[in-house]
Amino acid sequence: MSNEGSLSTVTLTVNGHRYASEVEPRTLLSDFLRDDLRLTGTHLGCEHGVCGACTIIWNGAAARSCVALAVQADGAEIRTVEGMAEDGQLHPIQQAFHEAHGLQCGFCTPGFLMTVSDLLERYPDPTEDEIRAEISSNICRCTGYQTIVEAVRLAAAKLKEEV
Amino acid sequence: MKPAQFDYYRPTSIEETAALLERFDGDVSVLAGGQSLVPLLNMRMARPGAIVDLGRVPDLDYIEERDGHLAIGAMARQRAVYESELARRTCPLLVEALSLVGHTPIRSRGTVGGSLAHADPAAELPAVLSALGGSVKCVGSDGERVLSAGEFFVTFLTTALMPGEFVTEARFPILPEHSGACFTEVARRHGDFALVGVGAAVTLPEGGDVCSAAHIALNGAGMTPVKPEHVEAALAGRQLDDAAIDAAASDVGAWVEPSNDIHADSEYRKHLATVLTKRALHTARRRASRGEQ
Amino acid sequence: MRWVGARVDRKEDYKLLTGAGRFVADIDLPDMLHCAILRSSEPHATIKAIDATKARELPGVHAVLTVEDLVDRFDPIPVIWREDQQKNMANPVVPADGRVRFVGEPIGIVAADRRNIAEDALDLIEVEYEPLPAIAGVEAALGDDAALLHPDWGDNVACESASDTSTGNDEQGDGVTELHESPDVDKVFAEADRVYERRFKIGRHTAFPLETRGCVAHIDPMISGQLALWTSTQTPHFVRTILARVLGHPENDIRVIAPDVGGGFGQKEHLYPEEVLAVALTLDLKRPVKWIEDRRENFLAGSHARQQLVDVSMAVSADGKILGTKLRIFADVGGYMSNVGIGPALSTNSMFPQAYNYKAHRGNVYAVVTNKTPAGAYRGFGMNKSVLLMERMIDIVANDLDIDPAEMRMRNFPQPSEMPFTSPTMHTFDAGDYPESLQRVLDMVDYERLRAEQKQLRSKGRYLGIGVSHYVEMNGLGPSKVMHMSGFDVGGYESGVVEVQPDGTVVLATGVASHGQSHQTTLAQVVADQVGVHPDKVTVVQGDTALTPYSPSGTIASRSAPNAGGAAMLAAKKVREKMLRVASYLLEVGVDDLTVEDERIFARGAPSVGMSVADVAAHMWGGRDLGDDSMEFGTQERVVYDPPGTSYTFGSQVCVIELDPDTATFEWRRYVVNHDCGTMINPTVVAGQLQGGIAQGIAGITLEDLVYDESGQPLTTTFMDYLLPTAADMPSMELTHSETPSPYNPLGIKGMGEGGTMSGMPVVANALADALRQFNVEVTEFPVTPNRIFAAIHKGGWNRTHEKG
Repeated sequence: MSNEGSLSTVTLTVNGHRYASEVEPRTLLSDFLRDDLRLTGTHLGCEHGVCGACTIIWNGAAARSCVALAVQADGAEIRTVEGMAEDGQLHPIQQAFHEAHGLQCGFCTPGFLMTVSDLLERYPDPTEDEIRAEISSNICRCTGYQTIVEAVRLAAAKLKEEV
Repeated sequence: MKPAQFDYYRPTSIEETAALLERFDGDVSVLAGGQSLVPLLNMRMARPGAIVDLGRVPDLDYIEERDGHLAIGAMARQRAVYESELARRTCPLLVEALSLVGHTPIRSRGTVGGSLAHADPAAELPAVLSALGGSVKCVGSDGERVLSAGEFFVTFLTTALMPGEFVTEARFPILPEHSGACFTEVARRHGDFALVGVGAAVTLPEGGDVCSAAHIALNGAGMTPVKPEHVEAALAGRQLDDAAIDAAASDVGAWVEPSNDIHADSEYRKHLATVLTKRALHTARRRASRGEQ
Repeated sequence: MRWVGARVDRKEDYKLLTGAGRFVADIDLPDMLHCAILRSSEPHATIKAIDATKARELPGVHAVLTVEDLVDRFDPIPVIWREDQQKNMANPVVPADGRVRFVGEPIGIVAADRRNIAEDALDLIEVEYEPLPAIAGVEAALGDDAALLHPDWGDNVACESASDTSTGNDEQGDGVTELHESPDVDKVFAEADRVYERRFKIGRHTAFPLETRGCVAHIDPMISGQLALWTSTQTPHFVRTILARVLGHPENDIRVIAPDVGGGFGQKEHLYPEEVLAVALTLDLKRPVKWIEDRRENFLAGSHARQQLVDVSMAVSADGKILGTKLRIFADVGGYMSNVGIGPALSTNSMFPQAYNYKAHRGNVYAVVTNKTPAGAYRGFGMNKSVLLMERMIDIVANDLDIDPAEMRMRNFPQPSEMPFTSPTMHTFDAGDYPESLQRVLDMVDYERLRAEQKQLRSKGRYLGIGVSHYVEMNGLGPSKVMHMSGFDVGGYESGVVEVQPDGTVVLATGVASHGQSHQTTLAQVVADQVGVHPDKVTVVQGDTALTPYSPSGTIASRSAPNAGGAAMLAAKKVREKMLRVASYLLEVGVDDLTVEDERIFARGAPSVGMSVADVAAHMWGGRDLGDDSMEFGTQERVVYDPPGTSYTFGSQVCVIELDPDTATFEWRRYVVNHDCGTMINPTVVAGQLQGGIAQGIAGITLEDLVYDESGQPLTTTFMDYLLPTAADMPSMELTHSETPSPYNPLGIKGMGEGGTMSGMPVVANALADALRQFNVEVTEFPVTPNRIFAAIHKGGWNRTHEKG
C-alpha cells in the first residue's frame, strides 16, 4: 500500500465496535481515538511516550497511543477506558481505584487503568515491588502513588474473588 | 507536538521495502515499533519526507534458534522476546537487559531490531549485541549483508546502514554451557536510559574457576556501545577470582570515555563503569558456577 | 456532626474512572479552530522582523497574529502581589518593547483547521532576532557588568524587601506590624556562642499538572452572546476579572468555566497571555477557538517555581538553643515577575523561623530577573523552602555541636503551655503540641534503636541516613485584611450559597474550583451535616462564574476546605435554622425542640412528630404560609465568610534511607509522618492530599530540576530530561494524624493541600545529608542527584564552609 500526502483508510475494532475512517498518515493513534472516534477518555499528557496517560490495550497488550500512528493500528483490536465498565457497573479495577482513593484529578487515571489491567493479567498476585515497578510506566502528579499501589492490590483481590 | 507531513508506505515484501528506501535516498525513515521514531516525529526533530512501515512485511516477526544464534526478526516486539521461553533459555543476558528497556507498554510495541537500528549509545540492547559479539542482517536493493556489532554501530544514533538498507534480523550468539550473564545499570529512574549499564557474560567450563571466555560491553559510556576487548582478552584463560574481577573492572573504568550530560558527568560515568563491571562480573560468575546462566 | 470526619467515597470518581470526564481538550464545538502559539526561540533578543506571509498562505490557516498585530490591543496583565517599591507591576501580553526575555515567550498565535496545520504554519513564520546577552542565573544577574533585562530599572532586581526584628520593620509583610519584642539582630549574633553561615542552592521546579494548560474561547449564542472561556484553571473568577481588565471588555459579558481540571498545584492560578490571545482570535474570527498547550510549551511557558539562592546565618548557644537567624534570599523569578511576584520568596523568609523559640531575625529578599520562564506559585508557595532551610540548618548545627538532631528540635520548640506562640516574623501559632508530634514519629520508628542500628551498620560499611524534621505551615488565606497588608491584592473571603430544593436535595454553589481536591465530596459532607441529609443528596456547583458566587482568589493556598468549607457550613446552618423555624410553625413544636437527621425534621424525644426535609422545602418554595410574613420565600441562604485568622498546620516526620556509596544512589527504608490539620472533613482525602504533596516535596530533593545552559537555553524540555517521580521512586508512607482544631474556623479546619511538600523536602534532604555526614559531607545544594552524591563522596564536594566558634 502506498500513500503520497493523501488519506489512508484505517479499519479497526475499538471496545468491540468496528470503525473505518480516512486519516492523514501523520495522525497519531491517540488523536484518532479522541478526535475521530470521540473517545476522549484516552488523555494526552506528554505526547512523547513518557507519562502513560494515553495508554490503551492494543491487541491485548498495554501500549502508548501517542507514539503510534493511527495507520499502524489498521486491523488492530483496541480497548480503551470507555470499554471497561459494563452496563454502568464499574470493572473491578475501576471499583478498586474508587474504594482505595486511587485518583484525585483523574487525568492520569484512564492510562493507569489500562496499564493495571495488563499488569494483573500477567501478575494476578503482585508484590508491592512488582506493582511499583510495573506502574512506574505511568505518571500521576496527585497521589504520590500510595493509594494507586493499594488500588492495584485491592483490584487483584477483587479479580481473584471473581474467578 | 504533532508530526509534520510525510508520505506513508506500507510495503508487503522485503524487495518492495528495499526499492522504496532506495527511491527516497535518505529522506525516509523506517518505522518498526515506532517507540523511538514517533516521539521524534511529534517533536518535529525527525521530519522525513517518507515513512516506510515494516508492519505488513511478512516473515519479519520471529524468534528462532538457528546456527548457534538466537535470531530475532525485525518486527519481533521486545515484549515477545522478553516473554519468550526460547530467549530466556538461550540468551538470558538479552532478557535481563530487556527488563530495563523502558516499561511494559513501550516493550509491547518496541522492537529489538528498531532499538538496534536507532543506535542510541545509552540504550541497553546495542550493548547486549556488542557484548555477545552478535550481528545484524541488513537488506538493500543490492542484496543482503551481515554486519558485526562492531561494524554496525558507527557513532551516536548512526549505524553502518547504507541509504536503502534496513535491518531484517538481529543475531545473538548463544553461549556454551557453564556460562553466566548479567546486565546491570544505574538509571535515574526505573525504565530510564541508563547513566551507565554493563552487560557481561563469562564461561567457566565444567563449573571450574577458569574463565574460557568473557564478554563485556557498556552503554552510556561512549558514542556507541563500547566493548573493552582487551579486558575480555585478559580474562580469557585466567582464573576468575576476585582480584581478576577487580582488575578487569578498573581497566574498564579507566578505558571508557563517556561524555557529560545534565544527569551525569564523565567522571561519574567512568566510576560507574568500574563499579557496575565488577558487579556484573561477580553475578555472571555466580550464575555460571551455579549453572543458572 | 456525622459526615464531617467520615471516610465518604468520592462522588467525582465515576465519570473520571469511565473516561467520561470533560477536560478542556475534550470540548468540541462546531466550526472550532485550533491554535498554536508562536514562541521566542531566543532567551534574550530584540525582534527585528517577523514575516508570516507563507504561514498566512498555507491552506487551512485562518489567522496569524504576531506582536505587531497585538501590541496595542490589550492592557498589561497586572502582577497581583504588589510591594510599594516593586518595579514590575504588570506585564504586557506580548512584549511591548519588542524584546523577548525567555525561550518560549509568546509572540504570536495561529488559528487553523487542525492543530497539526497550525504547527505547520509556525514552521513557516520567519522571526529575525538581534540577540542580547543572556542572564542564566541570579549570580550573573547581579554582577557589576550584567546585561539588564529591563533597562529602565537600572538593575536586575524587580523588588527587594527587608524585615528586621531590630527595627520593627514589617516590610516583608506578615500584615502584623506590632512587635512583641525588638531584639537587635547584630547584638544577638555578636554575643552568641556560635554562628553558622551557609549558602544553599535550591533547584528550579514546577508543578507539571498532568493536564497541561488550555482553553476554548467562544462567543456563545446559547448564553446570550456572552464571551465564554472554558479554561483549565484553579481560579475562574479571578481569571474573569483580570481578563475583563486586560481586554477592556465588560466583565458581565464574560463567562469563565473551569471544566474538569487535571491538576494545577499553583501553575493554573492566574490568567496567562495565551488565554488572552485565544480570546482575541475568537473575537476577530467569530468562531470558537481552542488552544491546548503541549508538554514542550508547558516546559517553556507554564510558570516555573522554587529556585532560590539563599545565605543563611544562625546564631546559637553552646547547648544548641537558636538565638537568632539571618537570611538573604535571591529568588530567580525569570524574565518577568509572575502573577505572585515576590510573594513566594517573601513567604520563604516569613515562615523561615518556623515554630522555634527565638526572637531575633533579619531577612532580605531580592526578586531577581533572569532570562528564564517566569516563576510563580507552586504548592507550598515558598514555605517548603523555609522548612528545608531551617531544618537543614538545625541538622548542620546539631552535627557540629554533637547534639542529636531530634533533641536539638526538642530544645527549641515552644512548649504547649507557651501557646499561642508568636514567631520573630510575627506569626502567631494558635495551638498544637509540637514536642508530642515529633515524639510520636520518633516512637513509631523506635528512634534510639534506629540510631544504634545505624552505628552498627556503619561498622559493616553500610550507610543509613536518618532524617528528622518538623514543620509549621501558614495556610487558609485570608483574612482579606492580612492578604492586602502582605501585598497580595486579592480578597481572602469565600461565599457559600446553599439551597434545599423542593424535593429535599441540596445544592451548594461555591466560588472555589476543584482540580483533584474532592470538593464535590468534602463540601457536600460539610453541608450534609447541617441540613440533615446524606452527602449523596448534595450537589456542589463550582467552576463556572455564571453559576457560582464570586471567589477572589480561588482554589489556592490550601484555602478551599477552611474558607469555602467555612462559608458552606455557615450558609447551610442558616438554611437549617430557617427550615427549623418553618417546621416549628407547621408542626407546632418549639424551634429549640426540633432537630434534623436522616432527611427528617422532628421533635427531639418524639420522632414521630416531624416532617421530611423535602416537605418543608417544598412548602417554603411553594409560596405557602411560612408563619412569619417577614420571612423570605424559599430556602436559599448565602454567607460571605472572611476567616478571622490564617491557620497553621503542622507535622513531624522521620525518613530512613540506605545509601549505596559505590553507585551514589539510595533506597527507601521508612517514611513516617504525623500531620495535624485540625478537624479532618474526610480522612481519606486528607491522606491522599498529604501523600501527593510529599511526593512533590521529595522529588524536588531527589529528581526534579529545570536546567538552563549558560546562554539561557533550557536543557530540560521533555519528561525524559526532567524527571518526575514514578511509583518506583517513592517510599511507602506511614501516616498518623493528630487533630488540634483551628480556633479560627467554625469547623476547626486548617488547610492541608500543601503540607506534604513541607514534609517531603526537608526530611529527605536531612536523611540524605545524615548518610553523607558519615563521609564528612554537608548537603547544601538541591536536587541531591547521584552525580552530586558521587562528587561529594569521591571528590570532596559540598565541603564545610566558614564558621566562627
